[in-house]
Amino acid sequence: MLELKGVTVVVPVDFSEACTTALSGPLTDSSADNIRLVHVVQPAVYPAAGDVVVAAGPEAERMNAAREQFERYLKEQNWPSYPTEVLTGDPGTEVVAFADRIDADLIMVPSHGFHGWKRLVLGSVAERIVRLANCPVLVLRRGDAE
Amino acid sequence: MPNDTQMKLPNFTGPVVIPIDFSPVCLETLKPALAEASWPEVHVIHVARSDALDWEPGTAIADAGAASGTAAKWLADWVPNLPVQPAASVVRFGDAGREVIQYAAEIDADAIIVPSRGRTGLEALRIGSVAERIIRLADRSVLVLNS
Repeated sequence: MLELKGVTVVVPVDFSEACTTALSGPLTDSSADNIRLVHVVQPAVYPAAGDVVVAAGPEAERMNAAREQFERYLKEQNWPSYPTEVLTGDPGTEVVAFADRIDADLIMVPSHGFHGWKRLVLGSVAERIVRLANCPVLVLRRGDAE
Repeated sequence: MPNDTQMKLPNFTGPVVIPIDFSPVCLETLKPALAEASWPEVHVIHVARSDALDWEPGTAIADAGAASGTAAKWLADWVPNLPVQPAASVVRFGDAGREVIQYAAEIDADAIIVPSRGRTGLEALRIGSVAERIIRLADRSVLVLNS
């Protein structure tokens, strides 16, 4: 069984059912006491070099919407209350950068654990995090929660 | 990861499987991790590539017993370098990724713990091909140490 007492853990959350299933066990039974839940909003448009970003408004709106969604999502879960963070950018890069900023011991990534194309598509963020991380990464399987 | 700060690793109460390849980077990654972590039942596994796969009809089969003995001796010499003595040291033959996952299932391990970069990975990619295969295929949690 997994124990996370005293470990500073960054956990990316995408609100999907698979993510919820994978995280429920580790977040409730692991004596975790220093978890930071992170959701990354992908920007609608990636500005290219030389582009002028005119309107920052829509981005801020989307961030706010994500914060509200995060709140609603957490209310539905039976998890202990953990601090949350909403970031914007490339999910892999942002999660790793956030872990660096708070000097995290660990990034815990829910892997969707499906076979076939779903795994390939949904697991790409997990793989990117494993590649980029400067700290250990725990890739969870769905089976952990079952 | 800065070396000046004390690392904190997740604990697993059940068995964990650690694939090793005898490379210096693998040892350097594992030493501090094993010293810090509380993993009560560590299984170290080395998967040797099986020459039996190259066997052709009519040729003598390579002495599997001798090969296994050589790998076991490597393991016996290497394991004392670790700060924690494993519950088991195992040699398997075949595809490294598959054998590690198979062994983890046999002992119902809590997790597979991979030192991310070993003998086969390009240094620039920071993650070995065997590690990557394990992450993709494993049916249980995988802790990637990232040297």
